[in-house]
Amino acid sequence: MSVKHAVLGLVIERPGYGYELIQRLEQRIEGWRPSETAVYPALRSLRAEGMIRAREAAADGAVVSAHRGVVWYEATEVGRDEFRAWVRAPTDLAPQRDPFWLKVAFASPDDLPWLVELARELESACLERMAELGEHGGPVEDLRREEVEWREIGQAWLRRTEAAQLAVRIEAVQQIRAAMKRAIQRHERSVGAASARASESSRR
Amino acid sequence: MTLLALEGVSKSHWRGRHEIVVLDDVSLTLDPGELVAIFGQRAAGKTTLLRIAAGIEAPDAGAVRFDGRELGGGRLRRLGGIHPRIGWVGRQAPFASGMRMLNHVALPLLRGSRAEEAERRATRALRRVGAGELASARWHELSDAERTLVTIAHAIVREPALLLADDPTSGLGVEERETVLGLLRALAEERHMAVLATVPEIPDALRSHRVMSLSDGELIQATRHAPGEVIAFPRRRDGRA
Repeated sequence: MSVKHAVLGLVIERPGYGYELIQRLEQRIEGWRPSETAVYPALRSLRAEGMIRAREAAADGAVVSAHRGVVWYEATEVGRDEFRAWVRAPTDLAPQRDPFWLKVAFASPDDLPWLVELARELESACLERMAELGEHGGPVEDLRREEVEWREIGQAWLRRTEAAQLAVRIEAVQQIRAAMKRAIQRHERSVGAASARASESSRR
Repeated sequence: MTLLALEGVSKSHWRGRHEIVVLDDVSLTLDPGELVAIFGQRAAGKTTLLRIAAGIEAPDAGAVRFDGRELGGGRLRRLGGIHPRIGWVGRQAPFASGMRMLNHVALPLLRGSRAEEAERRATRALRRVGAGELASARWHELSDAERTLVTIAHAIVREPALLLADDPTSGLGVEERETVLGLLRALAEERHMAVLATVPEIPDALRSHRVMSLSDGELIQATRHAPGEVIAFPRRRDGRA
């Protein structure tokens, strides 16, 4: 899922301007918080590609926006076609790109105390995010209502998927933290033994 | 106002000469009106943490304060009970197997109140957890979810200020887990009770006000760092202070 498609989807729903779109995105897809710095470039590039255009003045000459200087965007036919094609196209599995695991993979033993602490921080951040997801989440039974809207289910599952991913991440981080702590102890023992041997041989 | 505070609590179990660190310098506070969930896998030390919070077990180091006073860890157990203002939701079957659930729930009251009064309050507790119709049922007739509800009724019948729940969702289905945690949250909010529940799976924690996790003796809490805040690394060289 890219910010670009999300922004295009919002503009197709109804025209909007940058700040309004960011807020609407947060409401529509609670589990997902794009930064402002991602929404504005997405708008620029969508406009450059002809998917959206700055909204024209109304027929009577008055600017549509009540806010002077604010650029409203609306979708073009090209944008609608592209979005429709994207919705209907198969979706690849998103790759996992968490820098923490990269750090772990390439760390030296001297880095371990920092990584143990980073693991605590990461776990703590996961817990914080869990709490946030919990605040938004309604009970599951809400989704079993006969008249439930499919979009609501999509939104709820986005949350539940994130919660499940967080759960797996927390367990993995806990395991790796314990393993790194043991590695530190082994490393210290071997360094201790080596320095004991060194002082032994220097005495001879 | 803090109702329960664990301060630097450590606990080890010994297997011969081998030390197993169960809790390593664990601190937490709990306020009235909040449900706090502690996630931990099997054998992570969750039950030990709750037993210490209840004053049933004594920590090796650190202190437990309940309502401003230090809980005499271990002493209560010898006296044959738990603090009267602490409710415990465990997995224990009733004292006598043929007992009707109304009597089981009323049992904690029998020492202090008349039988009628105890039954009235037990009925109210059963109704509160949505198990009013189980008053005359017997333990062996109940499903796992019903047993959990009855156990919660048993724990709240004395209207405790603090409720400690030891994996109340284990063995239950997704909807039943939601029901149990929703109930614990409602009890915390309506009765201004502090509720500490351990959960075996993280998604259970979604219904709580705060989430913590326990593993390898360490309790990790959610912390919100201000953007750009510089964190001093590492605070501890390995797991230990």
